[in-house]
Amino acid sequence: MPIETSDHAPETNRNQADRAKQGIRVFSGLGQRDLLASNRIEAAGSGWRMLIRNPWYTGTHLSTVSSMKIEVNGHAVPEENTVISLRGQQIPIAYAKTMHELWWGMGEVADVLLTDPALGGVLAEKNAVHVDIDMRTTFSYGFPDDTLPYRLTVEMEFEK
Amino acid sequence: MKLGLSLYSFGADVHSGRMDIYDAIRAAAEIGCDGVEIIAEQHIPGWPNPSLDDLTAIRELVASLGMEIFCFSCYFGRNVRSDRPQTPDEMTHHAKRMIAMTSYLGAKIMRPAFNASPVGVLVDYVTSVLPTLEKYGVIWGVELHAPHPPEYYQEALEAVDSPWFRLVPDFSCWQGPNAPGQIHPNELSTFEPLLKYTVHCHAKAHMFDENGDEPNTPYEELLGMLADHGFEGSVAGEYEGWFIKDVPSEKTARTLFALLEKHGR
Repeated sequence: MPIETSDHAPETNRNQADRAKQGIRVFSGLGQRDLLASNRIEAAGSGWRMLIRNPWYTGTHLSTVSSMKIEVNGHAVPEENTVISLRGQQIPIAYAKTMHELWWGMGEVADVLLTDPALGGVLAEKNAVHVDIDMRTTFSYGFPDDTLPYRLTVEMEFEK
Repeated sequence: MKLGLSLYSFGADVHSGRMDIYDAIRAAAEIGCDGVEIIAEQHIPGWPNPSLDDLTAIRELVASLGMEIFCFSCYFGRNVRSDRPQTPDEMTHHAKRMIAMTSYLGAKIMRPAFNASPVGVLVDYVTSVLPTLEKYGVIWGVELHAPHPPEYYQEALEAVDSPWFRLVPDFSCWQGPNAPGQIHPNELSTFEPLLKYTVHCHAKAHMFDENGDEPNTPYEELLGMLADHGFEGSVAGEYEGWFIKDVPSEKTARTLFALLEKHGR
């Protein structure tokens, strides 16, 4: 699994816009570093599942997940076939933004369930999986729309 | 002054799931800390509705190891819901919950992260819960953090004028120009007028040189100013380098605490 982080501190910035960009890079970099809790996609019920760790540096309300898009070998899994599951509670990803009562703990691993039947014909032993998540911050750090992007493409194994 | 660590310093291991709050507390005790700072949203199991049993276990573990909880940190965010910001009533309710929880944990200081912009909104917010702070014996420690200038909360501290509303300076305000994110280093003299309000400090660190010093943060001078002032509060080391690089957190925590002891004992 690639680790997208620098080996040294970011360079000095002296203006707010640069600082915001640097902040996005650092916060998103941390999230992407730990985002995937496994490099495997597994069969689960009538679909498949992958394990995604809360990328933010603290726990947060599930309502901060503005969007989550998964692509497998270039095939975009439809939103209606993407479900996030925390402690057994399954939430269609489109409704995650309404779930402010549901907590996604620091470092907590969620099951992301993919129920798209088309994936059966897409998955191979090794797969290029792209994860695209936007998450709002509950406290403003100066990021545009108080939102942080997490974008990561990794190779994931699938055992048929 | 009392020296310890914020459990934030163990973030690399907590974020990746290698360590939980109980591991981090034990590690801090083994390093020799007088106390710890706990961050609600990072460390408390079952957040935001923890069981009293878990809170009791945390409090008792800290005490059994001869430490105290210096400070209970939490976030007072307005963007919890996606359809609207939190209402003033919801914000007040949340603050009162956090004050009571701070008290239950046995901490004397609560550090809420709150966007005080303009700073006048902070005055109204704190004033609305002053009776609760006094009732529970909890101090609202407003955190002064870069890029805010050192005088940012002076007006609010003077306006509220209460022993239940005090300052938690973060050393980031006095870091040098090469510190990550630093945009305006401040003169050390700007710490002087804040000392009378200071109840707890975050000793920020991002990296260490071969001697175990933080190259961008004037630890000797800042801790020296606290000592000269007769500061009897607490200083919690806050290692944040885990944002940049994943290294075992116990090693960096140990280095940071040694730096605190070198200049703060």
